[in-house]
Formats: sequence, structure tokens, C-alpha cells
Amino acid sequence: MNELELREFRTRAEELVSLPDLADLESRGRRLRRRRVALGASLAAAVLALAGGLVVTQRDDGNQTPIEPPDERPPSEVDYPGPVMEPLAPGTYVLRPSLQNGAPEVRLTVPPGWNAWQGPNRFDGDLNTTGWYAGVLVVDVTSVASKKCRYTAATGAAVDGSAADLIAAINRIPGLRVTTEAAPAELFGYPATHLHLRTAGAFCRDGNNLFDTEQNGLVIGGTDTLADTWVVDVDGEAILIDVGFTPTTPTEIRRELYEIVESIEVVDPE
Amino acid sequence: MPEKETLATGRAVSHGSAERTLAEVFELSYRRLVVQMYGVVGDFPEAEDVVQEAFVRASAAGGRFRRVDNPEAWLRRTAINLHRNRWRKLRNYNRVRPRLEVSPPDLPGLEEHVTVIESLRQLPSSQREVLALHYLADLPVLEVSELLGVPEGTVKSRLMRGREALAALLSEEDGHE
Repeated sequence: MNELELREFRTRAEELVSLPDLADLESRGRRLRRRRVALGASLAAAVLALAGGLVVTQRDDGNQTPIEPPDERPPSEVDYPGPVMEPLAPGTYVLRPSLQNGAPEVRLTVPPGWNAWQGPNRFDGDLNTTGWYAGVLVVDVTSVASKKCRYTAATGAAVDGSAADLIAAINRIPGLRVTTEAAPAELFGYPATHLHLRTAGAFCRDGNNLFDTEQNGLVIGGTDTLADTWVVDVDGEAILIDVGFTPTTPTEIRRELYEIVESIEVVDPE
Repeated sequence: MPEKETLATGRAVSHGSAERTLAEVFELSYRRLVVQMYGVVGDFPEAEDVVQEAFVRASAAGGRFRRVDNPEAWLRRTAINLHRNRWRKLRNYNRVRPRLEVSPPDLPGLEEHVTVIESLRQLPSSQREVLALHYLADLPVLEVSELLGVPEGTVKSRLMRGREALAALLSEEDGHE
């Protein structure tokens, strides 16, 4: 093959491409952003922490007026209720890991018996003895802890939203151990990186915050939690899918946990 | 002073600590990205569309996009994922619709190089992608591997087979002239 032909093709084609109106593209970008921000404003603010698993505290995003987006979803799908600790009716939900950065929505299906939290979860008993925890998180990480037990949203190390940066950051989080080497994978049709994580087990009086998220608040590490984690690269934006459970979580519950993950679809916002 | 990355063609792309406006990135990268995607998808209107949509997503990302290390790489990945997502949706439709006998419209004015794009279109998409990303986007094998989520060895073998097939197609076209 004459590589020169490809280079000449490129040079000539670049000369011929005409630039569209950037103002129009920016206007479409602003509309996309506004639509997502408006969607998030209807989530109730709540602050709550659990003592096991990777759990989330919700951040108050202020009083923004919600604008209803065009809803073309099937009637069986409903918005995920967010971090309210109440029984979650079985069915398909749309969950938004981020509202400000062009990140997509995801659709997931939950079986009977699960609770609404930032992601569906279940738990039983005292987690410090024989209790168990299981939960799925779908989040957009904005910063990670740099010091154990002393991390707040204001003191974390920022991540830039790319998958590579997030994977590197996860490897640096104190109190969280990467137990198997990151491996390339594909999830929901997007390139992904698969990691196995384990919380290090140290007790922090106010909880061991691990990372902060775009929309969903701080994620806390439990005392001994295993996590099957994927960093999914969706159109250049990294989404963290975290499947957390304790060593004592019943097999049947773990099976349901992975069924929820298998049900996840990335919803094209367009 | 921002870090400089020199591409294989000798053109330098500034990236690093300095934040750039979307307008600067647009001016610098739009044409390059459209041509790269033209090679990847073999369809000029589709290439324009996914690159423009990538800029829409960049605009929606606001400050976060301005802070990424390599905006052109971010846009390229977004455009490729958008195309793949559309392709998946169209796949079932294409199975049942009558096969189109006409090629997609080409870039006006490119007639003297039309055999290149026509030959690229005849390759399997997996080979076309790696050829376009390696030769039109100047990405090394490792970066192509990361971008497409396939092992380096697979990229190398697709490059080798793609080069051979493209050379055969181009010489065939030359023979017809």
C-alpha cells in the first residue's frame, strides 16, 4: 500500500472541509446541559450514612426550577427515586449519574425486595457481626480521597472525567485496595476497565469517605466490602459501576445483584 | 509553557496545563477530526455529523472539557463512540432493509483521491478503523488499541491485513485507469 496516497488524501480532504457555525453547536450544547441540570433539581436532598458497603450521602444542589424534558420512554420506566431508604418496587428505572457534564442516563431493572438508595441495595443484620450488604452504584466520580478518614468533598484530588484518570485515581485511594489488576473489558457496548476492590477495613469515626460524585455525594467505604467495579468510557465520560457486597452476602442476593448489573443499558440522551 | 506533543506528521498539538476555549479547539481540530472520521466510517455526512455532535457534548461538558489533557483525543473518542452507538441501532434495521447500491456522497472537490475512500469503504470496518486511526489520525498502535478497546496484537494484525487489502484494491483501481 502506498501510505503516501493516504497522507495526500488527508491533506486534500482537510483543505476541503468547511467549518460549520460553532455558535450553533454551542447553543445545542447549552440546551443539552440545561436539560440535564433541570432533571437533577427535582431530587430531594438528604444526608444519610450506612455502616457497610459503598454507600452514598446526597448533596444539596440548590433550588433550581425543574423543567420537564420530553419523555419518550415506555410507560413502564420511571425515574429512579434517588437516595431515599424505602422499598423499591420491582421494575425498570432510569438513573442519572451526572446532570452537568453531558454524561448519559442508564436504565436498570430491579427485582422484588430491594431498597431505593443512590443505587439499589439490600442489607440485613449488624454489619459488624453476621449482617450482610449488597448494592449497585452508578456514579460519575469528581474527586477521590487523598488522606484516610480525613476526606471531604473540598479536600479531594480532582479527576478530569476521563476513564484513564479515574482508574489511576482509584489506585491511589487510601483505604481501598485494588485486589486484581485492571483488565480491559466491554460493558453495555462501551469500552470499560474491570477492577476488583476491597475496602481496607480501618474504622473512621465519621466514615471513611472514598470519593465524591458529580450528583450523588460522597461514597463511603464499609469495614470489609468487596467491590466488582467497572470504569465505563461513555463518549469520553467515565461512569463508575460499582457492585459492592460483604463476604457474608447470601449467594442468592449476589446473583440478583449481578442480574441488576446485566440489566443496565446506557440510554442515548438524544 | 504548555507541554507539546508532536505528531508523526510533524504537526504539533498543544496540550497540558493551559485551558483552551472550545473555539480554539474547534479551529485547530475540527477539520482533522472530520477527515479522520471520514476514514473510519467511510461516509462524509456521517463523519461531519458525529464530529459536530462531539463538539455539542464538549460544549455541554463546560469547564470539565476545558480541563482535559488532550481535547482532540476526547473529541475523537466521543465521535467514535457516537458512531458505534448509532451503528448498533442501525444494525437490525439494515438487516431487513433493501441493500443500498449507491455509495454515500463524497466530499466535493476530492475527486482525484476518490479511489482511496472507495477502497477504504470496501474493507471490513475493523480494518478500516485501524488504518484510519493509524494513518489519518497518526495514532501509534498502543493508542489505537486503547481507543478501540482491543489488544495491541489485534490492532497490528488488522493493520497488516488492512494494508495488504487496501494495496490490492488501490492497484486494482490503478489498473482500471
